[in-house]
Amino acid sequence: MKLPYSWLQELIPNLPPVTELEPIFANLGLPLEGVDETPTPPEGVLLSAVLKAEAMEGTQLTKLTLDVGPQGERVIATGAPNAAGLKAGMVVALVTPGTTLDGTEYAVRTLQGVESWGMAASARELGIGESSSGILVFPAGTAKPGTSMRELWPSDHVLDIEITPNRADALSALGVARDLAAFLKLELKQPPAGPVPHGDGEIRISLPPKGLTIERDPSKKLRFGCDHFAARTVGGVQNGPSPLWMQRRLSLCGLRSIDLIVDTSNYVMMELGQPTALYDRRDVTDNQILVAFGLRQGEEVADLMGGTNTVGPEDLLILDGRERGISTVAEAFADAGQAQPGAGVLGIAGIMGGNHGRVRGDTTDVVIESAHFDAVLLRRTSTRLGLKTDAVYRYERGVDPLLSPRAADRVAGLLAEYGGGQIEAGATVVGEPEIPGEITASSDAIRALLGMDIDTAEMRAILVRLGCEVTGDGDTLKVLPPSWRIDMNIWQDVAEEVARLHGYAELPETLPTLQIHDSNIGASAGNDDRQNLRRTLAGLGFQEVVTYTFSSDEEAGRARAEAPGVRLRNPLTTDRTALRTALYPSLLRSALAYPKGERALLFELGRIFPASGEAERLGLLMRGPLAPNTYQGGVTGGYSVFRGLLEALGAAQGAALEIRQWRGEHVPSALHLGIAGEVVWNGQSVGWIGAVHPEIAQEFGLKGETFILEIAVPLPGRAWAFRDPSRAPAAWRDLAVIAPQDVGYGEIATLLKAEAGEWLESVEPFDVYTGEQIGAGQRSVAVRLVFRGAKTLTDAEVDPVMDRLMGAVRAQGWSIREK
Amino acid sequence: MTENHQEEAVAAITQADTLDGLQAVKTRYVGKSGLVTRELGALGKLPPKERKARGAQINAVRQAIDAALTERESTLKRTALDARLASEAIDVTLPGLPLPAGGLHPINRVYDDLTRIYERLGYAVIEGPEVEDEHHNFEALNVPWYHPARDLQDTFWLEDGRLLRTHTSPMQIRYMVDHEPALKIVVRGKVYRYEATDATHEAMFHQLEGLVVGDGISMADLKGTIAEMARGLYGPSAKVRFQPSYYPFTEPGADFAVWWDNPRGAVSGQPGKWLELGGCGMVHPNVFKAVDDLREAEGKPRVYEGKTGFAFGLGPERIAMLKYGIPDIRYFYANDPRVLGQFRGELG
Repeated sequence: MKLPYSWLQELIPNLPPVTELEPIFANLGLPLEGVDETPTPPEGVLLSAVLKAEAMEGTQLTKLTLDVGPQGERVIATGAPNAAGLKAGMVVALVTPGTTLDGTEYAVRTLQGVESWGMAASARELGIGESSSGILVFPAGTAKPGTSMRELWPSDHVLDIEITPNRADALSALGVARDLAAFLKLELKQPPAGPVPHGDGEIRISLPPKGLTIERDPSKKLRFGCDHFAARTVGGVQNGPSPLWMQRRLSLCGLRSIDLIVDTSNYVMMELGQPTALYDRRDVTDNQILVAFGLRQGEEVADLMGGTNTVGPEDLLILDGRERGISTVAEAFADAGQAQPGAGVLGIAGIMGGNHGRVRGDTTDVVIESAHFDAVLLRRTSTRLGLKTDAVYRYERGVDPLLSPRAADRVAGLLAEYGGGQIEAGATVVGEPEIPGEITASSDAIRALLGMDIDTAEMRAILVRLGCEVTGDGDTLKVLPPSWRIDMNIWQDVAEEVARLHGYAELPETLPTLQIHDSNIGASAGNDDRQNLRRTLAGLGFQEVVTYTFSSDEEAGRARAEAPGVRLRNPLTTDRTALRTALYPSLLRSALAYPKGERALLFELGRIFPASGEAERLGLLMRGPLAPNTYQGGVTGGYSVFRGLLEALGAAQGAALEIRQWRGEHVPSALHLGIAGEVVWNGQSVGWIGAVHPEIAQEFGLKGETFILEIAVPLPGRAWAFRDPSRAPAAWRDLAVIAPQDVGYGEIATLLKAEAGEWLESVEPFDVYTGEQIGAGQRSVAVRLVFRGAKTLTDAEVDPVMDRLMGAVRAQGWSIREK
Repeated sequence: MTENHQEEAVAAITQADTLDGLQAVKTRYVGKSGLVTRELGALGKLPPKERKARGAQINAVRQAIDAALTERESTLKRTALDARLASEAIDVTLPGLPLPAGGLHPINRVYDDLTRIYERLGYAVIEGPEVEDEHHNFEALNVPWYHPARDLQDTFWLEDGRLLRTHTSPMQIRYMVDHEPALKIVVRGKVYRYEATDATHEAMFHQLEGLVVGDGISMADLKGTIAEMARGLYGPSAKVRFQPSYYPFTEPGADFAVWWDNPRGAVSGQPGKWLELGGCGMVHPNVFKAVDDLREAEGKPRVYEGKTGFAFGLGPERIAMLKYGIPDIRYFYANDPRVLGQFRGELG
């Protein structure tokens, strides 16, 4: 929220200089996102009174005759859309010849035959506001003609204040000033009150019953639809430009000036925090206002901004007295300019006014609505309709429930003062607003929660400064928060207010002393495993990547991964419409960032979201050589290197690792038909390893072989057991097994290990041969078997084992290759 | 004449410039039939009276020759070895075999820095699901569906009605439902916001969440804990600043900043600055109540009402950006090898 420093200073005369405010606001929990010094118009911009405004025949221009005070009577031509409607006496900002604006020096020039003495400027042209839709216009008598505008529009500082959703009380100049004054212990000057005594007004108001429920959460009783409504009428208002000071404040707050009636409503919202709606009294049929919901469902409502909104069953509407007599909303919302405006919807409560009831050029009699609506109901409607206005922003956070009459009075007072309006009769105020209840707090509990020693008397003083009524004896604080602090409900809220005004800087620094409950022991195990994996893989030469979990049906299809099981309802981009079902597409995408032919060794530890549920995976990828050729020979890559790295990972993790070859239809479609296998980790199948299918590699723009692995995490562990290393020498034997080529080495090794008995220490292949000597379709795998016993093994002991192994080999239908 | 042998031999030894040449000298004088050996052998022919004196004389000569031989041999061997080693010279400035050097992603490096500090303080480190339900992500954290605070966390909704967690805070709920107090945890993991990407915003980023629950936990404990983290990250001079803020699941709530001492402050004239790192606060009683309600539904005892605790959250991306001077959050997930490679060593 933007507020000019000068406004706060008006409310707190002893406010410290702007340069000292940043830490003060931060310590209040209202941090400043920025402080901007705002410019003042250049010296040569003079406030000038309009003497005559004449349309120039055959052009879009208006000729203005101006009283420029000491500069005499001057004429300009302007194309501004609002120039034609200027009335004699109104004041414009004249950029006189010789003045430089935004690098351009203005001079006398001739427009369509009129010698134009400078230019009437818009706020944007003067660099003092956003609005460029028309020239600045101020009411008659704003200043003596010829006065330099900067005298009335001085430079200022705009504070951009960040207001958290709980601090609805601070969404106004008064709210911010109130908090500042309490914190700085300074006097707060209230803005002027409306001048009028209350009495019975002419408007009759009917409110919805309390204790409603809504569809979304029938268990929750809404407190009300609208529990406080003040209506006041002002007649004979001369609508026109609002006073310069009001336009300036609104502009500094980032709001556009429209006309006196609209500006007054916005100004009071910025001043007090209470949104109001102003209706043309001619449209408030029978002087009756009905606040209701459940009516007009499905019908379309035109709003004053030209939009159309379909009424839902839970939209709170403001209707006029003919509600019972009309048949459709279309009729109710018929253009107000028609001879017989239909009775109907004056607005969507607290969000936006309707086309029916809107203030227009010839409006003179105004009905002011100042009400307290239910935050939940309004938020729901605003979200559903996509209408986020400054008013509903305040309502959904919580407006002071008691503020309605005061704001209605203030609007009426301003319209009377600046629009010449007559305040009619009294105000109609209905409803029984609910205000925050009394909170019982213990000052001991507050001290314990904060860990800060603040004495009870200071707590009481702080709370009183904030507007609370504090009673109770000794340690007991009975706190009745002010009506604007609807966020204060429990004693912890009281503790926060005490800490906030005492100063968070005073909090000591201690450390918790706790004996952790047994149920928490070992909770870090998963993280420890992940850390081990990460560090081992980085040590083995893999670079970790962290990739987006987003994917799409298209990408899953391209990677031949499982189709997405979880799709986004509101994707940001077309390539991120779902969550990934596998890691490897992310790794393939990452590998693409590596230059062609260069080594890429990547890993990711991340989550996937297949239809079966969220799961954690480790993915590895290898491309290119293990060590590239330089001035010396390198080390090639290939499956055996990739598998070797996996074996090293397994060894570092203390795992028994096995790869089982997949063939034919068992090979996942993402993998190379001949290079694919199942990874078995400590006896459990955990995933797969292989080469990426060349068609997929091509789809991803990757040339050359790419090896990938994807396994489930956490990986199964195993029990560790110590074996005393034998000091006896080893006995070794070589054996060459001839088997069909599709018999994997793993199968042979498994058979040998199963048959060899306890002496077998290791099996290592040392020669793999295919060729004429052993016949087509056959392969010879020579292995070295190392045996070791507690004592030196003799031939007599080892030979029978070898006989047994050879028998087992032959029993498979394989043979032994003789030397 | 023996004395002459000594002079001759020592001169020959000194002149020998190869081991072979030295061996020849050795053979000539002290070999089996060397000149000195022969003289020793001839001692027997001398009368016993002379024999002793002569023997001693010859032995002295022999010892002198042996000593000269040993010294010369050692010198020649060293020279030969030096020559061989010199011939084996390798240009050690040439690069070695370019073996792969792995590395951790900068986000996880920062996570490691942080979790190391908290593990030292006795916290368990946990992770949790990234797909959440509305109850755990919002309702149980005191953010009902109609709460305006939801506007601060634009959400990716899933077709099945669930959502991508907008913060790691739902793990507060899940962990407390499964465990009893007292407890100290930090949670690491990805979070998601429905936000257009720019230099400081990402649809996916990371958080570190802390939660401590027990008896008599205070806001001063929270501040002390954040200060301990700050010192762990930025050294002993790091200071912590708390300012009031609002998180629906905390009361009171605060934002914390850490004073970073610029090591080049004296030179640059910038002594340091406050780094806004995250939010924190005392656990809101409604959160404890929501946890106990969930526990009760699972048949577990209500053990949280009446406890106090604190929670905090911060973004490792922000810390990494400050620590490594990374200007744009989009660098983290582009996984450009030229960027990732910078988080490893470099040899000139």
